[in-house]
Amino acid sequence: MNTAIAMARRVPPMRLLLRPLALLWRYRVLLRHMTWREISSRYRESVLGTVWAVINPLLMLSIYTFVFGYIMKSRWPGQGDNKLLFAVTLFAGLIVNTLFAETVNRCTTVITENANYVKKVVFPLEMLPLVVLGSAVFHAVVSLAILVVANVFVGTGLHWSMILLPVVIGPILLTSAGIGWILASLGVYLRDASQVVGFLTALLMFLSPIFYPVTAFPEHMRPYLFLNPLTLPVVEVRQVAIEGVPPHWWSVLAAYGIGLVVAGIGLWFFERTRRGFADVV
Amino acid sequence: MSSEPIITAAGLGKCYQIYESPSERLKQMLYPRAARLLGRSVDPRFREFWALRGVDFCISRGETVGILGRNGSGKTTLLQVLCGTLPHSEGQCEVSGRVAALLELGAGFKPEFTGRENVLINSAILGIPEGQARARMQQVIDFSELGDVIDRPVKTYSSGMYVRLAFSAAIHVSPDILVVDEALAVGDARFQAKCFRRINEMKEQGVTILFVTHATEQVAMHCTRALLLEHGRLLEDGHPREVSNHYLDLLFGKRSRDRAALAADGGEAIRKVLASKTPSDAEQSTVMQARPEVAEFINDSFGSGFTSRIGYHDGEYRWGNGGAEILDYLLVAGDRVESANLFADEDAELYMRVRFTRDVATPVYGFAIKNIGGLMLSGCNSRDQSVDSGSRYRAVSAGEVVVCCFKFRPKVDSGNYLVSIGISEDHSGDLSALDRRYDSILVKVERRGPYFGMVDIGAYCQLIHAV
Repeated sequence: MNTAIAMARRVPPMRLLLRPLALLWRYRVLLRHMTWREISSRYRESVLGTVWAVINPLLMLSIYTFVFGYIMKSRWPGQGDNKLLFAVTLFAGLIVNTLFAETVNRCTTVITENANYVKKVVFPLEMLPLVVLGSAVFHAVVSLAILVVANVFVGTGLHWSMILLPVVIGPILLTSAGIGWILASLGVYLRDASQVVGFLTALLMFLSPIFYPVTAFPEHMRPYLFLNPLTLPVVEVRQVAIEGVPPHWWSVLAAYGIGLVVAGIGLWFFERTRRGFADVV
Repeated sequence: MSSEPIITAAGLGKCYQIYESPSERLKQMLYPRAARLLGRSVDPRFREFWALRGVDFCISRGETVGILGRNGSGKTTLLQVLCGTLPHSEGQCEVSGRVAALLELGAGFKPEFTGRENVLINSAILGIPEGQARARMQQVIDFSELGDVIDRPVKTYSSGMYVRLAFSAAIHVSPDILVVDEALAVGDARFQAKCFRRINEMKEQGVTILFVTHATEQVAMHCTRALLLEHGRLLEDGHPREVSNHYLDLLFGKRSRDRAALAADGGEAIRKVLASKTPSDAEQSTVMQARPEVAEFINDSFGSGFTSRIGYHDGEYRWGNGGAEILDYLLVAGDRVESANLFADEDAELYMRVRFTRDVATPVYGFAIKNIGGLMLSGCNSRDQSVDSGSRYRAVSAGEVVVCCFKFRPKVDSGNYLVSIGISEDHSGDLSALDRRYDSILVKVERRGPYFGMVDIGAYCQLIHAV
């Protein structure tokens, strides 16, 4: 443990960026077991089991369609009078939001919930936020599959660009992991973190173009919208899945760069502060 | 056994910083840094508690080391630091090789997952490759005797099943070091025996074993070395028997506080004795064979030749509060007076002369024999098995000299044995040592009977022919 801290203290910048990926490789078996355990624990002892992972997003999509398509008759600018398309567009944005918000919120309590791993066994604690992320990714993948299928039904059809979905989702995974690490550590020391973070994730959701198109945002403030980590992936997921347009490559690259930095800093922060966990958990 | 060090601790210390609230811990991490930048000093935001400090030792591969100490002396903290569950605060701690820790069995288990899943996760935490983990799975299931239950959530397990699984999972990782905590109550007696057998096997395979216990017998029996901790410091590191004695002293004895004072006014006391009585005729008559040497021993109320007797062991461990003094002893083996060579099929008598320095209402005379490793084989005392048939105690007054005789037949294997004798005072059940001379007499026993093993339990074999 001390060597880990000592290493974190004087890592060259390049190593700092690659450490999260190295960690992922080193504990891949553990991550797989733990993630699966995390996922199945949610549905354990329910009659339908993991089928719920599919039913839940389907139900949500149905509700959006009913409420926004038929009752509120909401239409997305530039999509014509398609009753179903608004719901699908909303759904695409919410997949990204859920992935991020779920990870970040769960991370604030994941260490304290696993006090045994802190105090009683030797455990790579830095994997706990990744397990949370892994579970969120699983649910996101199921939802994305539903999104792809839904496109067929609403008439936009299948686009070749859909295969780029994993590419555009990548940066938000790195960012979520980085923020997750920081919040996981802060959550141990500041028990209020989970409350504050719950509010902040809701704020980020409304300040990202999920419920409205980017163009609806006041023009002079639009660049600030892109400071929200959700904005770019939300826009890109819709581009590649619904509009069938490839993403802006430089933006994707920049997003990966930022994601790696955030993840690297997050892990560094986590390892610097974990020494005190056992004193307060 | 090679001398390759596998665990090295140098100046090892663990300080618990006690914080008012979790956020204070974070401030402690941030503020001093900020203050240093500003060139100011900041008071620490915690109270310190040193659970371990300045501990130095080095353990070689293949050693079996017992760690003794009273509650709160830092034993568990030491084990946790060695296992890596607790970061240490100062000094160095090098542990090479894989550690299997039986500290809190099943602490890493998640109740809603099946035994199999928990074991696989346990392997993954230790970084065991997938293939090996699967292979080890079967061994774990076999050893734990769980069978099909392995695929049920562990929260449905009985506590016995739970620890059986945890124990099996912990030891089937081919460790280099095995760390065992005292509370190793694993399942029923049969399974416990199986666990100890397994630990012994591992010991023979050269696995280094560290174990914490309160049972000094276990340390004597299993360990090649013992450490004694007190208030977080390493008090002693050495032979299990010596360390065990020292530990017992910490537990029960106030270190013979006025041994010196006793010696100083010894002359006075002896004069008093002369004025008082010598052992009564009734007491003498209980000695069956009143040989001249024995009679002389009994009637000599000054002789204090304890240390010049045959068989005296100068590694004796003497302690007590000075309420009495064991002056001398006489060993009679069969018809040989003053001989330290005993035969297993021959009665032996051990006479002990005690002088009391104050009035004692409830004196208890005790005797015990241990093997050379320190394992207590047998013993008796006058409270539980009255020498003075009738009442359990016979009050004595200051200055009185008493001779008592322990009779025994050492039906044990051939070898050297250590005899301990002592005199204590009974405070409604609690014995406080007046003078105890542990391991003070070394005797040699020769076995002549047709049994084998450590003791003769009078076993014999009889053939019965079916008609």
